[in-house]
Amino acid sequence: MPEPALRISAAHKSYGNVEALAGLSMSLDEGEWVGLLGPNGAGKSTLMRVIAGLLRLDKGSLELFGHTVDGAGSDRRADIVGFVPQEIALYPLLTCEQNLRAFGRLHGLRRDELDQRVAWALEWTGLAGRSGDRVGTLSGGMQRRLNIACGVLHHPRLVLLDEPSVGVDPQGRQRIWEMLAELRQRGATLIHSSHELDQIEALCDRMLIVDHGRIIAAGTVDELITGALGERSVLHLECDGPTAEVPMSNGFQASGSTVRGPLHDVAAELPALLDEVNRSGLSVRRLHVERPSLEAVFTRLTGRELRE
Amino acid sequence: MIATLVHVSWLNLRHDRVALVLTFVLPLVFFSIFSLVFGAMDHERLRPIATVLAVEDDHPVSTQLADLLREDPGLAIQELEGADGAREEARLRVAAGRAAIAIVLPPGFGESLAEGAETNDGAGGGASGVAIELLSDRSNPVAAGVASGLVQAAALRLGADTVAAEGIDGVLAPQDERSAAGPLAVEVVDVLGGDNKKPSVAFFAAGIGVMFLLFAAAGRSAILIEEREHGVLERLMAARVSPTHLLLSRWLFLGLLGVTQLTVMFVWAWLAFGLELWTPRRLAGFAVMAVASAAVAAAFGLALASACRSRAQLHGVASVSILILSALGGSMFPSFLMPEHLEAIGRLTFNAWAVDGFQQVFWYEAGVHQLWPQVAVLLGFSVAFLAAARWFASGWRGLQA
Repeated sequence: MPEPALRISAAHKSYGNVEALAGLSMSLDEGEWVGLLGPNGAGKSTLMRVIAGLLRLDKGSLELFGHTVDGAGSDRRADIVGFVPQEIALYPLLTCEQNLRAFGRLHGLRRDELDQRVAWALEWTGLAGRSGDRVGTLSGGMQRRLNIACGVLHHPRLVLLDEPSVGVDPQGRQRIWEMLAELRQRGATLIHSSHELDQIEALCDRMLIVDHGRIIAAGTVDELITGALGERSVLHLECDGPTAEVPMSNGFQASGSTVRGPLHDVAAELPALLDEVNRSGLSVRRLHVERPSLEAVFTRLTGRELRE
Repeated sequence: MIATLVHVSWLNLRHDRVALVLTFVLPLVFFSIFSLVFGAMDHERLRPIATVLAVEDDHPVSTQLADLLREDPGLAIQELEGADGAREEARLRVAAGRAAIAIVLPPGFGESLAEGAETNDGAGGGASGVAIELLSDRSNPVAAGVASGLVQAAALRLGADTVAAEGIDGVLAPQDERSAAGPLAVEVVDVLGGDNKKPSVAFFAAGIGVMFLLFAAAGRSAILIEEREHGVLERLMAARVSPTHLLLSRWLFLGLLGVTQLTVMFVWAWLAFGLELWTPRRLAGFAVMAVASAAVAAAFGLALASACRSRAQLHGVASVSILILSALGGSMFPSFLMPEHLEAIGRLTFNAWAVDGFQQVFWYEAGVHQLWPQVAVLLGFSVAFLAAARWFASGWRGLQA
């Protein structure tokens, strides 16, 4: 059985009296694309920094591709981990190519290999035509793409992405997601922190929800929803008259001409409810069965909105 | 509306402590330093001049004059043992900058003075008389003028004392019957010589050069803050870069930049103002002092940038500290103008040692081996500042690896 790309066990990290990681444990398989969700202050950034080697754990252990690493940054860790900070972590007065070369050299790339990687990165980001332009003159989306490229130029096996598309317009986000998908196709394992749930839901294989320094839930979207909210869906029904007299099972609420309530078994419960509506002399104008969202899962688990 | 906006302006200022210091405290500090320096030039508080007294004449008049000079509060006399070689020792002390002036009473001076008094022809003032020699360091032009005046005054007191004691017709004639320069012939000899030497150019090239070295180092060190603000630091740390690597690389760069900056300054001083630069001794001394000064300036800038949380804070702290250090350290006016206690405080700044080192090279023509005190102090400061920068770096937010 292959070693996991990342395994963290009982990780503790405190800043003074504030416990940022409180016994966090997690594991990632190689090639996985994992979304990291959590409200502000949940411990996501600390977790990213610990994995990147910017912070030491107070307690606990961390393994990368089967090798235990201590808290300090090391050449080995720098080779296998790529870190993309949330900020545009580039030198704005340097050109795109100068930034790529500088960060490539810091990651140990030299001569032909460096030339090849820089050329690849410029193509990958769609910035080949702007290679000689100063970063400060690029659009926000271009800067974001270059920001990612500088973090993965050395082709790390594990990539840490902290809000890689924040502040970018929808088209720009799409371009970034395509880049990340290409990275994953090349075999990289991605940890992707974001507040954009639809993006995480669409892209990631699995999600980890962090709160109070722990992983409080992990799994696919379906697994998270089932685990947190059960198999239920939510019915929204709009009729052509008042629905107060329609007989309904527990949990349903009538309001004016609408009905809203949970369906645990849509196939069995929905036809029965529609029969009751017909028997009450009402016609259905609009019907919508909604699956609970990841946002609902998140709120249920943490008691907070994602952006709190 | 206007009142609200004024109130907002006041609130902004009140919350900006650096701006408050720049607005209210720095002017007071500067005013105080300048008042202490130039207020000390009031006659009653004139700083005693470091003076070597070389008495080569054993005539009683010379002995009496020497005693009067020793009693003069305007002169801080350094005594020499015996008459043999006294003049040479005095010259060496002045040439080395250990004294501002040397007063030499040459052989035959006392007799010449006495004979001149008897003939009332202006003892020692005529062409046949023996003149007192003032061995002068022209980099301190004040010292020669003041010392000359004090010698004349002592001679007048000697004449008056003799009249009172002996009742003769005065050893010395009244001032209005003498030369305009005074009753004695005083010959000022520039021991460091050479009309083409430019002491003020050397001083200001060093003083201004060191001050702007500090401004440049602090300004360029702001890149450390930008890197922290923009997340570049995290990216660097996630690569192979440790805070120590980062600081040392910045120090190296700023040091090289500083050496280049000083080179441009001194070459300009040579081109535009005739500073003597192109001798092997001066070039070697300049190279050593440029490296040592740039090293300490770079380390100072990094220490400030590591400690400050924002560019604005760095700008304010750097402006205040550099201006004060420059004023106290002698970048703005020569240290011989300062009261002794202020000069002593100035010696605690690295600016003073840097400026002094360049003065040693360009004025006193010190060899490289003679610069070890300045170099040692500057390198000591460099190590201390670098250690402080590393200590502050360990507290950079989010980085503890």
